[in-house]
This record gives sequence, C-alpha cells and structure tokens, in this order.
Amino acid sequence: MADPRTIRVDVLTRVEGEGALNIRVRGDAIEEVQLNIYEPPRLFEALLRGRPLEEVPDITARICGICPVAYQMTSVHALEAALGVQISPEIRRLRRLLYCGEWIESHALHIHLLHAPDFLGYESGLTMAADYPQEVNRGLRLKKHGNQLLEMLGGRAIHPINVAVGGFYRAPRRDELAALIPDFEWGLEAAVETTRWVAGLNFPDFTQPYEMVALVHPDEYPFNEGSVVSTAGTSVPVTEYERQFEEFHVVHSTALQSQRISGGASYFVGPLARVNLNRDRLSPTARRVADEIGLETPCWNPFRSIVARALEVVHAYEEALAILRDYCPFQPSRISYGHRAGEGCAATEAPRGLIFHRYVVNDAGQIEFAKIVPPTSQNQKQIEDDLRSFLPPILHESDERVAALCEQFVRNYDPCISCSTHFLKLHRERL
Amino acid sequence: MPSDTLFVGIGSDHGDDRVGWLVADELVGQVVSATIIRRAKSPLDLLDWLEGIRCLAICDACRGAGPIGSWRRWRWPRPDPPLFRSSGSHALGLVDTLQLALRLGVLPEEVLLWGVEIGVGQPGDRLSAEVAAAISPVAHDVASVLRLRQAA
Repeated sequence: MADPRTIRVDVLTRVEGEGALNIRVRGDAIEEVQLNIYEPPRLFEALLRGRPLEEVPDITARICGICPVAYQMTSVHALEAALGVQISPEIRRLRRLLYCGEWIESHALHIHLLHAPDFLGYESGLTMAADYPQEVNRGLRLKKHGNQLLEMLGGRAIHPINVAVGGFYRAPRRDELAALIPDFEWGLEAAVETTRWVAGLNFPDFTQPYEMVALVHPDEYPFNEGSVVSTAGTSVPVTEYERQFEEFHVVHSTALQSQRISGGASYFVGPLARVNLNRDRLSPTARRVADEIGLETPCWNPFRSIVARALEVVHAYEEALAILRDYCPFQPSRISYGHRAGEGCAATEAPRGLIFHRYVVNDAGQIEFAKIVPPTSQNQKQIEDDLRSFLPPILHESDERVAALCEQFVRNYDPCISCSTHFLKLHRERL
Repeated sequence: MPSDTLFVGIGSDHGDDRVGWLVADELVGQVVSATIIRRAKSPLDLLDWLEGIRCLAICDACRGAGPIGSWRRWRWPRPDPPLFRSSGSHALGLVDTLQLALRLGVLPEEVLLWGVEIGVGQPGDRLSAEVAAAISPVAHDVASVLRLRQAA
C-alpha cells in the first residue's frame, strides 16, 4: 500500500474567519478532504434564549461584520412571521435598499481584493494593486458606496442599528438618500466595467452536477422573500426548508455542515445559484451585460461565481438607484405589534447565499428557541465534495502548488467562517 | 496656500479605541498651522484624502508597544505590522492600507505614525484613565513634530 501523502493549508487566507484544509491522498485515491474550521463556536442560538425579541436584530448582526444585514433581515422577517406583523410596501422597499448596500460592499471587496488576484496570479490584492491600480481603486470606491448606504440607512456601516422588528427605528429624509445618487450613478457604470473585466479572466474548466439552491420570487431578484427553489426541481415555501435540508456536526469542524435530508447530498448556495435560478429577474442593465458577456446559464463552473457576483453588483446599484430616486419619506417607520406566543421562520439571500432563521417566542416577547443557518455552513460539505473532484487532475503538482490551488478553489465560495461557527452541538458520552 | 500636511486620528466609539479621535480633537486646539486634521473610522478612509499631501501623520490605537497608555512614534515604513493589526479580511488594517497606498502610488513621501497602547475593550467601554492621560502628551508631540517640520 502506498504511503499516504498529506497536504495541509494551516490557515486559509483571503477568507473571512479561521479555517484550515486537510487533504490525505494515497496513490491516486483521495482518502480524506476536510475543511477544518477551528474558529471557536460562538453559541448565538443559545445566547438568544430568554432575550427580548427586540434585541434579536442587533444581537444576530454581531454574528458577522461583513454581512450583518443578512442576519438582521432574516431575523426580523422570521419574528414578524411569528407575531403576524405585516410590513408596509415602503418598509419592504427600504429593506431591499439596505440589502443592496450589503451586497455591494461585500461583493466589491471580494471581487477586487480577495478573488481576482487568484485569476491574475497575485498572492494578494495588495500585490495586485501596483499593476491594477484602476481596478483596485474602483473596488475600494464601490465598497465605500455600499458602506455609505449602510451607514445612511442602517445608522452604521458595521452592525447597523436602525433595523427593528416591524420596520426601522427611523426612516431617512429624502435629501439624505438623494445625496447618494451621484455616487451610485458612477457605481452602476463601474459595476458594468467590473463585470466585463471579470468575464475576461481565465476560468479553469471545472464543472460539477450541482444542486444549486436559492430563493426565487415571481416578480423580483430575491433579497428578503421567495420560495426555496433548486436546480434539481425542488420548489417549496420557506416553511418547508427544514423538511428539505438539515444541519449536522462533523468532528473536524466547529461549524455545522448542511445536507439534503433525503439522500444526504451536499448542495450549493450563493450568487451563482441565484443567477442560475433568477437570471430573468436581474435588473435590465444586469441582464443586458449578462447577455453581452455571453454568460450561459445554468452555469456549473464555481470559478465563474466571480462573474455572478459582479452581475449582482450591477443589479444592486440599479435597484438602489431606482429606490433612491423615487424615495418619499413615510410614517410610520415601524409597524407596531403586540407580544404573543408563536413561531416563525424566514429565509433571505445573504451575499454568500441563502440564510434561514426560525424563532419560537413566548407571550412575554422573549426568545425561547432560535435556529440560524448561514450560507457558509450550507456550502461546507459542497466545498469538501468539490475538492474531491478537483484534486485528481492536479495531484501531479507539488504539495505547495496543490495546497495553493485548493485554497483558491475555496475562495470561489467567498466563505464567511465566523458566520458558520455560530453554534456547536454538545454530545456527552458517559463511559 | 493649500496644506500639504494631513493628520488623521483613527478610532471608533468603543472605549480606548477612541484615542486617535481624541488626539485629533486636542490637536485642533493646538492650532498647528497649515495642517488638515481629520477623524477616520477606518484606515481605508485615508485613501480619499491623500491628493496633494506630502506629509501624512496618523494616530491610532495599537497593541504590543508597551503598557496601556504608553505611546510611541514611528516613521514609515516602520513599525512592525502586528502593532496595528488588521481587523479582518474585509477590513484592511492601517499597515495594509499604507502598503496599498504605496502600491497605488498615492502614499505621501513622509508618513509618521503615533501608536497608543490600549487594552482589550468591549463596545460601550469608557476611556481608561491610562489612555486618557496619553492624549495630551501625544497631541503635544504631534504638534511639535509638525511645527518643526514646517519650520525646516
């Protein structure tokens, strides 16, 4: 029997959070592929128990500094479902605007500084900057706009404080939002340039027969609402999410993984899944650019996730501009409600993919149970499965090169490891 | 005559991490002529303000420079990166931002850094007595260095 070959990336770089990659190969056989998340579990679901439900948006926002809006939006929609709260169309529109800001800042930075360097042969965005100053400056400016929108509407760029169950604590003035329009007009053109730029990158020829999962809404590109739909034909209301997908714990990771309940297969969430399932609901400019660059959908190449992200930045700018231009201040900024015992769930589309929350509340307005399923948790098993397919053709390379290529592969998913370590199930074995 | 000297205090609302902002506020009172004084929430903010600047002076909280409340001055390209650590992959730290500015060709010819040692804090913390005591000495040093530079 051949001696095993172990390839390890001790610290995954250019991803959010702390994780490693362990690969064991014997001869041509891949014996083990482990996405080893060692970031400490953060126990948010337990932390929420007993807390007033009004605190949930602010507490869950602290699961992540990159995608706090995703947690806030999912939590308020789930709690509103539990309480029977109907938000107004104006509130609904402002929530979409807030999500536009988060997609812009998250996607812009990942595209320009974290992911593009992989395709252009640089070890980091910093080393890339000297040769691509225009592109890096563009990415930084796009990110800044996203942060400005979050600050304007959310009260703060990191961990916004203006999101409430029922709406917002404060609706912005018209002049506050109008001040963003010139930058967003620039940003829309810059996002189109970004898409054309990334569409010209060299993409490895790698495809898998994924089951891609995203929200689908009949009228709009999904942010806060929709059915849970997959490329394998599943289409269920969000209330059925837990009948389709389950979380489980693996020994090598402090983050839970997810799989299909029926069959135990992995599945794929994120921008590529969204574009595959919702291309015709992208904004007009995003659809036009998708056609111009010749993006074929469904696309099964995860390396082209960078193109999907860029298209979503176009969409986010175009939708944000429409809202900024039309905005009229309104009252109430928050729909009032009474406490009652209940249970509610919701799914929204974080920058990295579908995110699901479920809460049980008591009649004193306290959280009795919380379940939070981030997109990166859902993608972990898929990443490991992908690497098992990705490895065989590259095993002739040196360990260093294999490690580097695998690390680049992981970055296709823009993983947010800190999000995925929100909970740890403890099983005590008495011997 | 437009100023070619920029002082930036980097900070946040949380406890001792306010020190950069407070030094900036104190510096305003010391009236160092022809110096633009700004507060920044993130090191990346600097990149918007560098046009025409020949001397960039920065004050930020740091860890690993000494006891809490102690402070040091460095001339870029020092100090060692761990002192002004990055806060995450999606938020460039001060050292990375300066390196980025260098690679983008916008880093001023002279960069001076003041770091004030802080402890581990929590959101909502008050400013510690040790760090509060450092604000005036740091501002005094910044003002002195910038005045001497302008007189040279």
